Amino acid sequence: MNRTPEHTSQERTLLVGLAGQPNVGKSTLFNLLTGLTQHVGNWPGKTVERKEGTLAHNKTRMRLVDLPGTYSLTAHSLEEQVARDFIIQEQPDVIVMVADASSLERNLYLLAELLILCTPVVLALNMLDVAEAQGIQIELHVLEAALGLPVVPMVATRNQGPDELIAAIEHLAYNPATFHPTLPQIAAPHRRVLDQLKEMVAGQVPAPFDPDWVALKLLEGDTEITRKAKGWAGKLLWPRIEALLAAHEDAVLDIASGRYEWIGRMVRAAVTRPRLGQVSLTDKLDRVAVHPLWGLVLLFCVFAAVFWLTFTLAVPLQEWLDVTVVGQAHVAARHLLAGAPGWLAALVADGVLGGAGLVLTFLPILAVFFGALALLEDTGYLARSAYVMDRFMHALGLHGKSFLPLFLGFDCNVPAVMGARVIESRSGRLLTILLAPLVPCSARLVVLAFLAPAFFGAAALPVALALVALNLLVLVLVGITLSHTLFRGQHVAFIMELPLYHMPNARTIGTAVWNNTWAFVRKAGSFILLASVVVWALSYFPTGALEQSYLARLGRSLSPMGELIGMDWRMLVALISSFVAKENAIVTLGVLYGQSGGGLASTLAAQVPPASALAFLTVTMLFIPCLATVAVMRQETGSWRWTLFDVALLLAIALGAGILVYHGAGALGMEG
Amino acid sequence: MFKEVLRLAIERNTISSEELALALDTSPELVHLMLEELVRRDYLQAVVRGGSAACKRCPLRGACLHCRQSRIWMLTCKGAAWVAEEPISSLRT
Repeated sequence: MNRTPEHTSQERTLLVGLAGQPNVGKSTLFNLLTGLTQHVGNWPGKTVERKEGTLAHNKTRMRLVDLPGTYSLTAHSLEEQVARDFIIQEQPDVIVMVADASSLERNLYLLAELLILCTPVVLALNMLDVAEAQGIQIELHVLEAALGLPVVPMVATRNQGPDELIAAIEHLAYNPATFHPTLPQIAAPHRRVLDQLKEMVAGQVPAPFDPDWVALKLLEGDTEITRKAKGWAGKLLWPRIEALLAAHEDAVLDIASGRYEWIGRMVRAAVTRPRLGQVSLTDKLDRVAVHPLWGLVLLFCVFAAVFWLTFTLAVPLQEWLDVTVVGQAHVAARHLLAGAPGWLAALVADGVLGGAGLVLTFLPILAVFFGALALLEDTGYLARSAYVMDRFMHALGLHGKSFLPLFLGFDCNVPAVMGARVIESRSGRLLTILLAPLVPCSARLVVLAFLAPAFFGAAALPVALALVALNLLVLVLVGITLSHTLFRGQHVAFIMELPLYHMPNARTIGTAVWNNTWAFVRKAGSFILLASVVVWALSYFPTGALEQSYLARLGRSLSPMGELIGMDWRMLVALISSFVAKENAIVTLGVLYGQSGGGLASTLAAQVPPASALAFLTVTMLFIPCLATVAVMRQETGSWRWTLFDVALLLAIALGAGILVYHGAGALGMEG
Repeated sequence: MFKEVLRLAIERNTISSEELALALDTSPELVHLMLEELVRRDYLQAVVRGGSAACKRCPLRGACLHCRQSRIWMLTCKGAAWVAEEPISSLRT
């Protein structure tokens, strides 16, 4: 190393490099130190901007070079290569490493890489004001002692600290012997290998490269140094080096591990983070929220609260819309079309308003339901629910990787089926695809949220919760059965980030509610409207009388099954129509029962016995997936055999559960 | 330290980065840095939610709750082999 070891009274120019990660205030500091003296060009042969400036202090003149912002010095990018080449080739007297004090861990990794280049380093600890505002306390003397290098506190934006920094640069440049940094150590398993490599490359590495650094970089798998070393080592030595490196490919993690242990030691020694407010609140809440048992209990309570909120706030509004708005529109349409052909009046009043109009009365339910979910997400709870459920599924012996796609299924079963692509093994992927339709998707939950109060009034909440629990129980039982029979697979570990709890943002929640509700309105305006008209047409033609319609004939052909599960032909038809889209169950009921006059809720309550209603909801929750999901299942499994197997399995489960529930409820006196 | 991260994940099947920080006596920030490093080296895979073709076509994408949730990392075969001390080169065959 070509450095001046002693203090000199002669004026000299020091070469100082300014290193650091992007956005740590490096440019601000550079501007502060160099003022109007700076000039901009390009690094030789590179398109990366090179900024230089000068600074005169006492008898010392400094040439400052602003190095490109980099996260490390591994030469993965042009910027990293430029920064590393500058330090190796131009051998600056001092490198000033500018670090963001509020994010010290992240910044210290770069420092660890700088230190192994054997260049004197001053740590400019910038943005201390930001760190203090976040409650982070850094004991500077402790950090300085732990690192073994000068640490200068700074707030560059307020011009605080440049004089101390200049003094530290000068002192270190003139007294390099005082520089004894604590270097990160490679983890024990590969220390001997590194020593072997050092011996092998000694005498082969040309100046200005440091042989020890080259050996370390070779072990790290640094492509540029490997390429250079191949030339330096020659044909005789290189195969031996290559064989040693091939036998220790995992050494790279031991090297990085040593650096992270070093960072951990430094931070533990000198940094104190706040344990007040948000953090301690998160700790306290998480004692329950992520507890293996209480976490599940809380999750169930949260689900209950979402349904309760939906029923309490939205259902009265929905009923009002149903009777007042849609009901009045129905009457008005009949009145306006009094002179029109009977089929046209029936189409508008019963087909359009009885179906899609009814679906639009879902809006309060949707708004509250999506609002509650967005609230849970924005507070940070939804991540915990995923965490708790994942552990639960592992405990039951299900594939861990199945969890994510299945969790997506709560929104829609289609992405759940497609999300199974993340699973490498075919058996794990198939199992997940087969289980996905058993996750109660938002469309089925909306049907439940609409029909449960209509059928059961004040008892809607426990009924809805019991049905969701039944759904999940069936999912788990089917999952356990299949994973222990047809699909044996291995567990996959997950690491999840649990964000801090925080106050929800009204705007975020509002946006989520608006986007979801608007998407539903568009769906109701096209797809559901079309289905409603088709159902109406089948229920009107050929005679105009419901009892003689095509739909009635279809329903009656299924009456033996209907008798077993306590459903009349209208409910069976509603169930079948839900194959196209789950919401169609309500549309069909609206068209078929709404013709009796009055709001759908009161009509259903009056005409459907509780045992039949419970059986209907049970079958709806467990029924075969919608058409879109089946199509995606076929696409993802690449097999009609598996797709039809799952459809048959779900049909059998749904009808079996329906029969049990109907007769069980009948035995409990819920028939009438 | 890296092996300890992966070993803890395998032991518990599912672990949060905060629990990892506690077990390793370090900060969550440092754990996140290590997780990023493990992703770069293919020992972990960052799970990108909302990235599937179905999600991209989904009309609810703009408001999807799952796309905006916290980050998740999944152990890869390479990571599992490393913890089990199997030769990594055997994975290439």
